[in-house]
Amino acid sequence: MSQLSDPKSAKMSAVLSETDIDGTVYDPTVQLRGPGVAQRRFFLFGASIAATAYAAWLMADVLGADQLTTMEMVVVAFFAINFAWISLSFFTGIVGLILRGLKRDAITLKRLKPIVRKGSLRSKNVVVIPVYNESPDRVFAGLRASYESLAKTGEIDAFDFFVLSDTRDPDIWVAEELAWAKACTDLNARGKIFFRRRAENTERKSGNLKEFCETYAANYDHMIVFDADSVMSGEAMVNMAYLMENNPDAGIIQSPPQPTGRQTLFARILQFISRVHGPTMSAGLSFWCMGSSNYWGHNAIIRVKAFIECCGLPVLSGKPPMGGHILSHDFVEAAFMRKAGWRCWLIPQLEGSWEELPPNLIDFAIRDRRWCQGNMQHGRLMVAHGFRPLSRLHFFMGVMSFVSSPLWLLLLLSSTIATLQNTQLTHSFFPGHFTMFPQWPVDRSFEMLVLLIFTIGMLVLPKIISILMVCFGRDRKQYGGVMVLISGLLETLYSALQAPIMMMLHSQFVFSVLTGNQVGWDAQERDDAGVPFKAALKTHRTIIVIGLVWGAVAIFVDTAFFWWLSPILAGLVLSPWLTHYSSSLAVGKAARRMGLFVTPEEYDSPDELRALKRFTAEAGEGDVKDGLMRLIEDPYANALHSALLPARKPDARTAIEIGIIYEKLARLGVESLTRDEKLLILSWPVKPLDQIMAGRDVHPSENPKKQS
Amino acid sequence: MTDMTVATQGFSYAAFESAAMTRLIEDTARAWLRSFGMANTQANHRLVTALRDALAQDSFAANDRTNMQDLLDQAAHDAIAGWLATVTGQHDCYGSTSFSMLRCAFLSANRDGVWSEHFLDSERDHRDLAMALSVQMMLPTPSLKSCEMPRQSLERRAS
Repeated sequence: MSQLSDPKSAKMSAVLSETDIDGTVYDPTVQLRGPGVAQRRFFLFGASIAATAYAAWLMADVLGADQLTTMEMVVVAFFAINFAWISLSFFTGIVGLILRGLKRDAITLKRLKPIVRKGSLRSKNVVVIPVYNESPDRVFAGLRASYESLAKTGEIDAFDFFVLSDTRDPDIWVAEELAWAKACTDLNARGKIFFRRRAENTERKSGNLKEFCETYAANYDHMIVFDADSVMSGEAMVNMAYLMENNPDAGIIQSPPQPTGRQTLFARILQFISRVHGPTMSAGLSFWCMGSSNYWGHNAIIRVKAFIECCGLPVLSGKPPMGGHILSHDFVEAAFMRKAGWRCWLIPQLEGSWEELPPNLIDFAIRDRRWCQGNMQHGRLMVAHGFRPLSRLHFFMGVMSFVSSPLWLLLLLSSTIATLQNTQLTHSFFPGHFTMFPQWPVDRSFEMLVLLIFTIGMLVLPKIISILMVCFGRDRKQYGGVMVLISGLLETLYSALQAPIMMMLHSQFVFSVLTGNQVGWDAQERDDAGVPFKAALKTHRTIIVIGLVWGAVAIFVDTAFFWWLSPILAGLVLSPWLTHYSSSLAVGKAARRMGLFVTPEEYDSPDELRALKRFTAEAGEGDVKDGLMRLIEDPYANALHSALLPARKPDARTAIEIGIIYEKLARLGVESLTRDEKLLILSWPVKPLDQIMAGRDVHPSENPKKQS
Repeated sequence: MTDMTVATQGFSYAAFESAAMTRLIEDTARAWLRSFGMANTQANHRLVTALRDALAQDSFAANDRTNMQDLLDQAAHDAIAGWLATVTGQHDCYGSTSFSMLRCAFLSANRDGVWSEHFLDSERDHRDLAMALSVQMMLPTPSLKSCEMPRQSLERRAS
């Protein structure tokens, strides 16, 4: 393992001589360095501020044509904040487009070249997969696909895999153990793939990783963090490890994961636009963030020593949701890395990194609710001591990804009130002071149009150009050929209708967090689950009512204003239909047949994704329905479970409790046990059936229920 | 469960073996063999003998909190762990985790029943079985390398 633990000395040795103090030679062709970091940021922030100032001035000019009322000033203020947000995103997109168009590396600004490794890996790496009540079939299918791909690179000896289970469901727990044993046997990977389950899952995922760091992580130089639905190609993983080896001041290297694998219309639309426009945004972000990029929590490689030394998360003062343990840990870990001097890089050209999306809008919103709570905590970290300015900006962006929704809502509501006020006022030709010259009403419809086009343009222009680049590029066949244009058009329409729904949901989430409501910890839905219309209607009923009332008020105020608001109102009123039909697997598949929303992963699936599909299909047959029953009946599962338990003895009280539960099990059968009772039994070596039933006169033919 | 605490009542096992005790010994042996995926007659005979020997030698620590079933289970565990220690050459076969790991390995190696008749046979040369077990041994975790991950502070450090 490398002895370097100080990023400054690591950087110095790499920069000065490309040779470390211990004689390690670094490959100069993969050094993460680039010119003009300050200029890049000056350009991006300068352009964003200038565009925002111009838009705010235009808005003030339009609204204050006659006279700027207090409510109109509020509108201008909200508009400026929101526009700054759009503007930053717009210029990031524009830079990304230029880089993609010129085929330039976002960091070095040199011509893009694939990574050519010189020699084998020197480091020891581990792929960690923290799981919590996830489908073991899916988790181990992803692991196996990635393992096989890694084996093909010839660098498998430099990697181990570690499944870190936080699972609390007894059936899933047993299924995970069996899936682990099967993977080890099938892949001949005993001593390469490890498994451990945490008895207490404090601090959720970050606590799971912390526990790993304090026990086994020090055996490794780097860890690649997976999500339960992650898959990575062997090439991508080896390249990441190679980059880490040759950039000794790098603390985190993030790959941009591509969403894939879902078939519902909702997921396919998102997969499509992420594939088309995602690389643009990644390139733009990487361009101005440079070594201060963010960490997205998975599909990234981390320097273990640095992580252990400087990423132990603090506990925020006060009660949850704003206090307590940090939920969205990834941004914070990146900020602590930066604080300690380590660099965090986003490498847009790292391909072969995949994840899965929630299959429908409801599950997407559920995930956002969880993220919202975590990101809102970042508001407190923004002003905490010691973080770098760009880390604070990342925190701010995290907060704004949710707070921008209530701000838009407030902007729209204040616009409605301002319009209502204006209709009540009669124009004053001689305002304020005595004069011979009247103040005539001014028509600002042209400026309004300019402002509208300017705003919408900034919102959609980078995306449209990304779509056009794909359409006129050599790879357009992989995106459905010319159908990519129709896909892009439909995606724009869909996202316009979905935006007001997300605005309402996010506003509700922010309000919920600020009023002290907490969210639980559930596994993400990872199947192509649809949303029945009644469920969608029930979820969105408040949104529909708001849309209808708002529409009625807008018509009452001004018909022109109603039409102005109509795209937003349409999204709100149509929300249940949009949610229901977009969650449809049949519609998603029909779109695929028509060549709509096609991604390269669908057109020509990479080996890893094909393997994932194959393993998932195979594993589906061996699903464990009742884990405890399996342990009672199957000697192998029983032995395996006992072997994976920590060596300890129950105290007297626990022993009595376990005895009572076994008595209940013997008399009333396994179905009489609660989940907690099963968990307690499973926390200790499980007795086999004949031991449970010993001393009882059981006659299966007379009382078959007792047997089970 | 049988609650005959023979040892605590001071009887010598050699004196008598009731029909109930015979049944208990045989049930215990059968249950333990089943936990190793076997129903082999020879293996069963060896385990029954081992249990009887243990009772005859009165080798259990007398304890009024344990019942006969527990004593027999302990005897069966020790007999099998002792045999596994001989086979593998490892001393650490008695612990819960290592014993379970070896049980897993034996179950995997003995899927076709090829080792069943050699189970608990201390006379035989077990190098081939030891090899088969080592191939099938699972390793849930690598070596422990403990360290502390200190919590970072958000407070301004006192100068």
